[in-house]
Amino acid sequence: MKVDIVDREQQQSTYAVNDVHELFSALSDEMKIDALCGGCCSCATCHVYLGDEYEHAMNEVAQDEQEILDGLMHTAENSRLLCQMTLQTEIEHLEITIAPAE
Amino acid sequence: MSSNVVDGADTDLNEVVANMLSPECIQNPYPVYKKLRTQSPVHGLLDYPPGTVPGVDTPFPAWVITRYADVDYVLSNPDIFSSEDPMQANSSAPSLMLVNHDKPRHTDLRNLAKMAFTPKRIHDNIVERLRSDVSAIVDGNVGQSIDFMEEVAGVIPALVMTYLMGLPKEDYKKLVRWANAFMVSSDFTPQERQSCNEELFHYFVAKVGERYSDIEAGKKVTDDLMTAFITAEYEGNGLSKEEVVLFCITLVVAGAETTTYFLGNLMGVMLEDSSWFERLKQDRSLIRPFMEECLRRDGPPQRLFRCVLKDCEVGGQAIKAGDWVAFFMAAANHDESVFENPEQFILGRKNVSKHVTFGRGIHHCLGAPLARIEAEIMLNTMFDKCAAVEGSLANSSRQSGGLLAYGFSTLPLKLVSTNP
Repeated sequence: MKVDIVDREQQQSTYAVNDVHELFSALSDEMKIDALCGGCCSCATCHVYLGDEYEHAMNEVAQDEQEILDGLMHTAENSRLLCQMTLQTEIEHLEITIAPAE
Repeated sequence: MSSNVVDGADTDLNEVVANMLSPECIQNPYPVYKKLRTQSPVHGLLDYPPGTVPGVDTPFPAWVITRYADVDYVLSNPDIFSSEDPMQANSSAPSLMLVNHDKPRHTDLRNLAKMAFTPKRIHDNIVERLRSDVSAIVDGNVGQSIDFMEEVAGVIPALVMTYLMGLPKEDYKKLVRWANAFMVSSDFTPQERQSCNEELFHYFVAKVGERYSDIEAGKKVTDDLMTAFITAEYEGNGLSKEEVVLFCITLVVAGAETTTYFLGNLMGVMLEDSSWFERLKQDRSLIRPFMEECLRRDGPPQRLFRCVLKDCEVGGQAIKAGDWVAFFMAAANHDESVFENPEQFILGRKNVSKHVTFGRGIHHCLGAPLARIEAEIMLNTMFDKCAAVEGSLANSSRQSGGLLAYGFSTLPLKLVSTNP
């Protein structure tokens, strides 16, 4: 799957990954997200905006994730926490924008 | 329990470890960490977790972990490295909620507390009144020679604690004293420390009791953390009345002193190099990276402890279940394999967000957004109202009571007014 990312500096880059977890690790290694809590739905430093057309391919937002998102200053309709996202259907392409730091 | 092998090189490091609680090391630990990183982990540190009392409680020998990769490993593996603290549990100190809990209880407790610390809650409930209070604090101190630690740095975080729990503002002074005693920094006699621990406990027993009474009498109460904890206990969410008290205590000890030292350390950088004040004053967008580099280079919390639950390997060293580890976030923040020229204060390091001052993983600091906003408000207010800060680090001294915190005990300076 090819993932087009727009980071906090508005730089665009493309990642070839098998799943969202791999993307999370790659972005964390490159410090494009801070991933402070290691992916346990706590720190919200992996807050992203998911391209609308890809919503159907992802798991639904669970209560834990929604509670965290509700507490952020930069939440939008298409906000997600990258650490909580999993693919439900196979897709070839994904677009994600990394949300501003809180 | 494991023991290290003693040979020529190890003997030197054994002496280094044995000397870690000296005032010289506590006040300037970074050269010591540099030596220890050459062979990490090293066994044998006899040290005191928060709440325990030197001279009264008996320390367990701990493995000293200083390399970034190893500290990260400890932080990222709570299933191996337990936060339950048998030494503190056996001491006179109140046990801490969250900090000293493992999963699954940790998850439930964190869910209770985390809502108060969201960026939105901080913005809605704390920012405006903190701006107002900090403005008054700076106004009250500008133009005078002051001890920054006492007049500003010690006040702001303790005030925020009073907001968070709906306590009388003037009680902040007591919170400062009790937090200092609990955190084993500052010089207290064992008796004073124990006495402070008891006063802290009884204070919150009384305050929590009053809040319970108000709620039961149907009075309107503030929508704050204390009310949230009490409501959780009411609703049978697995929190006992005593745990409500312990939660309040945890907030105070976790959030008062650490942030106080952070605020002081920020000023310390500005006294080190007086050009910072004008630079930041003119370009406020530099404040956040300045804060992050200060958190990396001079982050107050130096080390924490874990108890090993399973045999494991850290940095190539076999460590047994039952061993005690002391992992040094501050040493990891100076690991030259991760941060180039780590002793230098470099604004805009690309990897500054890798610092582990606020931890990682499930125990990462809940109050980190709060600490950052306190620092940001303090700095912005100072830059709005002051032309410069004057002072010399030669007149300052750093606390030497314990290895937990790197920070000034006294920081004389003058905030120079913008008004002629």
